[in-house]
Amino acid sequence: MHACFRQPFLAAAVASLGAMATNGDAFAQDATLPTTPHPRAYAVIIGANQGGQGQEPLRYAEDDAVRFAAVLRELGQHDSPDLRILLHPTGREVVATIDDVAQKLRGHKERGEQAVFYFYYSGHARASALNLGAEEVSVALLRERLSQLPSTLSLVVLDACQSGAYARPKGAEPAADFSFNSVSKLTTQGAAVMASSSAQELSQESDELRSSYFTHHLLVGLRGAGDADGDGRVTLDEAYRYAYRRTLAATARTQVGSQHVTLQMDLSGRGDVPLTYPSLSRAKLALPAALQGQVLVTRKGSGAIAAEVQKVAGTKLLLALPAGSYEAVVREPDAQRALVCAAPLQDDATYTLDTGTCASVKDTPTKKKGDESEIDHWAIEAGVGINFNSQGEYTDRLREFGYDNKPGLFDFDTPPLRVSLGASRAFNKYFRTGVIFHTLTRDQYRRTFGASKDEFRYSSYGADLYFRGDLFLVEPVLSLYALAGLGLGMAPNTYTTTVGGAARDTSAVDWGPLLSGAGGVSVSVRNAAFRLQGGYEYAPVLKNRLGDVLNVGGPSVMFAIELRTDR
Amino acid sequence: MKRRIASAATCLALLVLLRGDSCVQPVLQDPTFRLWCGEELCAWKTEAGSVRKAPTWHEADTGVEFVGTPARIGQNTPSNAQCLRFTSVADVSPSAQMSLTIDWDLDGTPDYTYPVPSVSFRQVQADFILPPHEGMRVVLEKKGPGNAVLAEIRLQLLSVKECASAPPPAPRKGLRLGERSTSPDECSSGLVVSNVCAECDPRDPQKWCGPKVACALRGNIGLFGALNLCDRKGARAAGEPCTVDDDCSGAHCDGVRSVGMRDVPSKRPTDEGDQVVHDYQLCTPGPGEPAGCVPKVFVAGSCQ
Repeated sequence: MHACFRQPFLAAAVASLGAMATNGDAFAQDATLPTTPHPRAYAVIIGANQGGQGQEPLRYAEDDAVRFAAVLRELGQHDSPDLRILLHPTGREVVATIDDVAQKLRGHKERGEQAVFYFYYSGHARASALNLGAEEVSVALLRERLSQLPSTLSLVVLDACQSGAYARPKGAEPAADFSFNSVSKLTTQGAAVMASSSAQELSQESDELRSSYFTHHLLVGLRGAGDADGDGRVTLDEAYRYAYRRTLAATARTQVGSQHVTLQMDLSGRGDVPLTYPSLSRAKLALPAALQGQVLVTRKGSGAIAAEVQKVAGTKLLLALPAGSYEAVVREPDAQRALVCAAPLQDDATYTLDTGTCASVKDTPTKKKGDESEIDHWAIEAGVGINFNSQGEYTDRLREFGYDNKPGLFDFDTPPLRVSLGASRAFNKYFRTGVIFHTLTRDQYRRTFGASKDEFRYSSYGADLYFRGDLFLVEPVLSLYALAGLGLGMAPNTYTTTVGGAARDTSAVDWGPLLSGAGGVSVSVRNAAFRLQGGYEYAPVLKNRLGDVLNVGGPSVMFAIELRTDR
Repeated sequence: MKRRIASAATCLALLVLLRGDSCVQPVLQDPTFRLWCGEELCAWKTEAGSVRKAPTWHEADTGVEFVGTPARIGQNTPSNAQCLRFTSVADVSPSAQMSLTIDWDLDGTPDYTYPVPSVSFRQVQADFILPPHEGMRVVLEKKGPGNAVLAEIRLQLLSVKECASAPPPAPRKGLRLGERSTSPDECSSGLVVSNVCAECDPRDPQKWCGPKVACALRGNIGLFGALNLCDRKGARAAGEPCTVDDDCSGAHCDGVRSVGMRDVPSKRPTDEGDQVVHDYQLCTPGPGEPAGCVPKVFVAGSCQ
């Protein structure tokens, strides 16, 4: 989901699920596991991040398409699923692929064989068309092609989106929702559609889930979380109920609003329609019957959310996942602590989650949309620039003693480089406080009398605690800001006297207070801010034994990059 | 001539190294009191009281503190520089009565006295012009009980341009034969030859010495320390100038002063490692003196 709509991982999704139609022999069986021969399956799976003009690109539509195909392949138990994955395709490619599959389906029908067809679309859409970047595929054309498919069973899943100015909601024309209209038309042809939202609602993506809400929860349901009766398979009805419940719960607290997944079916025959068979998966994670609470399963390393389950006590739940290392976070009802469990999944094995082996971690407070606490971003920053040396009684005294800071004939002095590193935390979007470490000025003074050469050199550094305020010119992109800081400065210094080639060093470190003030302009792009800053530091740090003090601060200009954990 | 060429070359080198600074050459050795040979300064001779190291603006940048009343250090220098810049950086209390004196005719009495200003390590400069001379003696003396720490006492040879703005020396009167001057009015003889008060001019001896009397160069011929005197052997009455006894009718010439300066370089262990220090000792040119006694002063006496 777009950053504006970031939610905790319990956030909901909007989805559309295509319906299925039967013709001829009954496909659905009461058996819990598939029998052979099993129907041939074909799928056209489309993902398109780019929308049309005025539509903000989606982030996860193409990834969702790939994940949907993976679940079909792993858990569908079709003999040789013929999956056609089209990522950011043209309209011509979409129609041509459907026509090609239609040709194959006709062959099966002529031979009296059963065949299943899946159509999945994730991307932008308007009421009358799918938006494939600059191109469109009209709903009328799609409806015509899909209704003519001679498949035994057709399942159409539409996770259609249209970006509005507010964020990246899917289906920005709620009064004429593509999914809703499609359902009514396709079902007249014997097809059914699961749609990501109702006719009056928008759909959303989640940055935290790295998916659309709907597709994420649909796939989690298909991996086993939706197997309400524990028979080892997930039926169309179970998948729909799971996706509906979880999507609604997750989107209830978003600014876009709740999403209600819709399903309209026109099925003839007996019984329900199994879509996946988690119990036949090679690697499985078993949640024991006694376990109760919210279970979040993430892939180790990538941190990708593999499943999110609200587990109820009394039934065992199997989640079919690819083999690998996972981490499960279990939050028991009313518990103030969470349990973190390792879940190593191997092929041909079922790993049962045992909360007795889990580690306990402190709970992280859940943020609510609209609270100031939601602006909870830390930031790190790094900068580079130039400090300008200050002059004063200290340097005057050096000159009176015959020292000069003009570079020698073969010296190539550069202005003191300013380097800074810091971290900060925002109170709200206007004010933040932070700590920053940075270099201050450095210089060297030399004196020569015959064979005697004396040199005094120093460098200086500062650490500030600062407060910063931003005045937005274009929120949240462009702002003017000012900051004031208080801290500590230090100045390592060395006096070297050389007579006849023998050098003798005397080193010391002086400390003193540091006051700073600065202002600049900040340009924010996503979670990064680029700042151009000018400032002045007063740091009376360097002192000699005659009481002269040198301000090792002074004017400075710098360029900084700030990376924020949230925005 | 060779020395002038060397001096110009040194000045040019300094100009390059200092990148445009005015060409000022140091006159004194160790002007920052850096070279210590034990408890004494290597390049300065302690003549009264004692001295010790003292920190200045930085603990490691030391100067010299004068201990006792009076306390005095001196240094001879072969410099014949007339246009000088005196620079001091010192912490001197008013009661210390700190002064710099210069004895340019090497007769042991101060010819020029400059009171070191009472400041707290601030730089003070003064430019002045000395009369013609060959070599001089510089003395730093604390006469009072107050505190006196000197970080730097420099005498530098000024450039011609800078010298033009310096105050000229006070005019003198009645200089004896052999004393250095550029003005005949300052000489009792009313004549200056080669910047020395002379009795006669060898280019016109009859005018100054009379018929058939030669104008002879006395003293260290061909070197500094010589004067022109009418060659009237045994004819000079009491009170008349002379350089040798044979000049006087009474066969006794008294008061002739001949001073030379001898460079005695020595490699000495100092706090900064072994350093070569030049000790310019006063000497009397002549057969009895060791080699290297360079004549600086030759002043006529008077017949008894």
